[in-house]
Amino acid sequence: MSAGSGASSTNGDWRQRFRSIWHVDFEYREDANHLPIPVCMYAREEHSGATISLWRDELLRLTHAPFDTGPDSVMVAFASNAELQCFFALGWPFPTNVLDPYVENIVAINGNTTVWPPPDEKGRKGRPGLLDALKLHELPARSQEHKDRMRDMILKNDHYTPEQRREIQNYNKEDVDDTIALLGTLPIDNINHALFHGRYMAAVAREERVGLPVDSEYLLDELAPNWDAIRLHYIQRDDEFHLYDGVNFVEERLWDLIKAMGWDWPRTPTGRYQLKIATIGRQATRYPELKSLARLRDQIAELRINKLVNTVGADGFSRCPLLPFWTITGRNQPSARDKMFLPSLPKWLHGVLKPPRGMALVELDFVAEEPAIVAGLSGDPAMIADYQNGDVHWQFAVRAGLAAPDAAVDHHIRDLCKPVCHGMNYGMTPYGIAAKTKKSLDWAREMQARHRYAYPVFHQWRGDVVAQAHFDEVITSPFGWRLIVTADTKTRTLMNFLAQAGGSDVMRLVSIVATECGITIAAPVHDAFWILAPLDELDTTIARMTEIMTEAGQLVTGGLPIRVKVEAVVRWPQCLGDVRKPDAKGQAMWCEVRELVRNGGLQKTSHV
Amino acid sequence: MSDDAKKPDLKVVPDKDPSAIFDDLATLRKESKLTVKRKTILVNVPVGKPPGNVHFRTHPTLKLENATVIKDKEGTSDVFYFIVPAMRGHPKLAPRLRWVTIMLTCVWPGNGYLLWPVPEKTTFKAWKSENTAADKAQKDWMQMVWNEEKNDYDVEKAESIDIEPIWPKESFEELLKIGFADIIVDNADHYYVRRLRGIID
Repeated sequence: MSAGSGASSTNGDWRQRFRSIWHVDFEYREDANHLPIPVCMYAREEHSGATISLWRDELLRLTHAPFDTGPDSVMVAFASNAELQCFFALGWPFPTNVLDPYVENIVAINGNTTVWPPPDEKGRKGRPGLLDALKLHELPARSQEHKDRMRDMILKNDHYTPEQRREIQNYNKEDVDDTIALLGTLPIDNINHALFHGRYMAAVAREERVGLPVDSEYLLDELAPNWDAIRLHYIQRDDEFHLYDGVNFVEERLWDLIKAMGWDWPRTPTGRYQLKIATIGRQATRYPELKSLARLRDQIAELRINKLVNTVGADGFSRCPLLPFWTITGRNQPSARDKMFLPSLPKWLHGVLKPPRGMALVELDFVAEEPAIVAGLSGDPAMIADYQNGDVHWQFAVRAGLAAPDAAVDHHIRDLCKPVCHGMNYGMTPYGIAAKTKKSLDWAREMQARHRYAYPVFHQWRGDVVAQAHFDEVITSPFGWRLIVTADTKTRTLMNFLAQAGGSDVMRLVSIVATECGITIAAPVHDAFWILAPLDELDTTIARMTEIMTEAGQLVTGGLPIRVKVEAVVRWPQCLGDVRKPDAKGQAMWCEVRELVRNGGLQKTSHV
Repeated sequence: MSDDAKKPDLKVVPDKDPSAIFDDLATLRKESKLTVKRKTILVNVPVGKPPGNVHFRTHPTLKLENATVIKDKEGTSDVFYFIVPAMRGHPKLAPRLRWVTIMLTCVWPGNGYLLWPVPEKTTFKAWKSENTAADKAQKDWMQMVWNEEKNDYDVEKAESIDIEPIWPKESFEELLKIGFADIIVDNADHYYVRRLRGIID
């Protein structure tokens, strides 16, 4: 697959580069592994107007796509990861070039808050779907009801009447018509970057197809059936203020408690107390008596295990849409309406990760990815040296005079410096630093001053980047992910953009290179990857992946290699919960829950 | 297990050489060209005593001895006019002169700077205390708080500030120029001299 290097293109003339431009759409339903079963495909070539419409039986007879997928052609598909998954299901090789109007529409509007979210839906999250995109560009769009009805018809049947088949094929064609109309309005300023995005969508298709292997027997047969009993056990144990009625949280009881305790509590715009899990977590730092409640709600009481169960296929893999390019910095944000991405759940539940027979599941993390990116991009010699010399947070502690240069790492001091270093990337205030570190405002101000003194080149660069973004009305990551800058864009967003979007670049590069060279990525997770490897190829695969991650980091930083750490290796037949260190985050709870489930502690508790 | 539920083939693509893929992708990197070059300019160096709620250190060598200032009020703030040697004999200035050593001072928290006119004469006990505090602050973080009952400063050493001050990059001469800009009395027509003479412009 080509990144599209070489010829440069301006808006419009990119079309001349390709002998054929195939607009493609599949309709599909899902199998028991949450993977697509192609139902039909419609394709239209833009120059000639040639069309291909094939039903499932016709698709299954083909060994490759029925259109040119070579280097002189491009396949255009909206949210192409789904179409490429259909390629997988059919055993077709991927096209060389993919152009995705879903991504290029995001590029066109990313950060432009005057157009997205729509003015009448300001609370809306996420990215525009096909109908939204059409409306954004003032193109005629079918009704959402029609789309929902067709989707239901396709998903809820496995055999279709001749009338349904005709309707589905019409719908299939309409999707292609819409995609063609949409692409005509999109300013493809840089076809090379657009093809890079398409290439990433292919990597996402590969990652989504693999998914995270779990111990499905434990999850589905032991944990899920006992879930309410487990919740009840912890609620009975930890609900000090009796805010639950059985397993149901009673909001009014918390309101009464807040009033009775005289706690200062954030409110919603309508004047009610905010009761989000995150709010209670933050309040617990002010009022330590709330800690057990915060932990209870965050770790177990409010977890809906069904959302995890919904992701697990018959093959024991958990698959959740990765939602590529979902954040303004271009990162994924895996989720779905009825699904939860396992790595987003509390750490103790990660214990359920378990490789399939004969395989190992490995987590590789970038070490201090964001500090490395800003050090490399800013060129601050002190910051670069600190990254190269080891732990950046400890190195700052030494520069700030909090520790002698030859002193052994004091983890208390190091952990105090961590939020300072992170916070300075995006302009955290002294109030924020004081709250994070639980130190005084004076200490926070002093640390800010010391950071400015220790890394003057970085601070000059950070200010220049923000000023430049305001002048240019756009800010762009090293690999071309851009954010439109308006009067609404927060300065902090700009300060943090290159660290985050640079991190996103790194993850894209690794995903592309690793999947294209045959490494099986089970899931990308912020600044880490879970990969699968056969046990007899484990060491070579880890070495290869480490090399790829290091090189990708180096490409983005402009020369500074980002270190990589093997965080976990889980060999079949073990699960992560079997091999995690006892002091690892979540491990104690994992063991506790398993003990409860397996040794009957729950029944006793639930009958109390 | 049904056909739909069969295990996926995890080997998704044939092996390729990563370095060839990287060579292809590397061409997409765009070197960020910052055309904006901001230069932060030091525009304000306070002149005065360190406030009572901070700790301070004085620079052991960056100081101007045998200087003369006049302390006055501008609204509610103290203003120290710098009187050049040639003006020391002026009849309106001479009785008000205060002989000082102007010391570069770093305050904690926040690592701020100020120019502190430390009285050289120790005829008043408060001046003597100021002088002693400034001297000790060359080595230790000190604090100076006015005590009404004693009519003197309480001078205290910080309990546990174990970091060294960070001194500014600008030269001491530059800091003096910035700190005393517009308040250097170097001729008889200076607005401050005219004010003391009661001349309305």
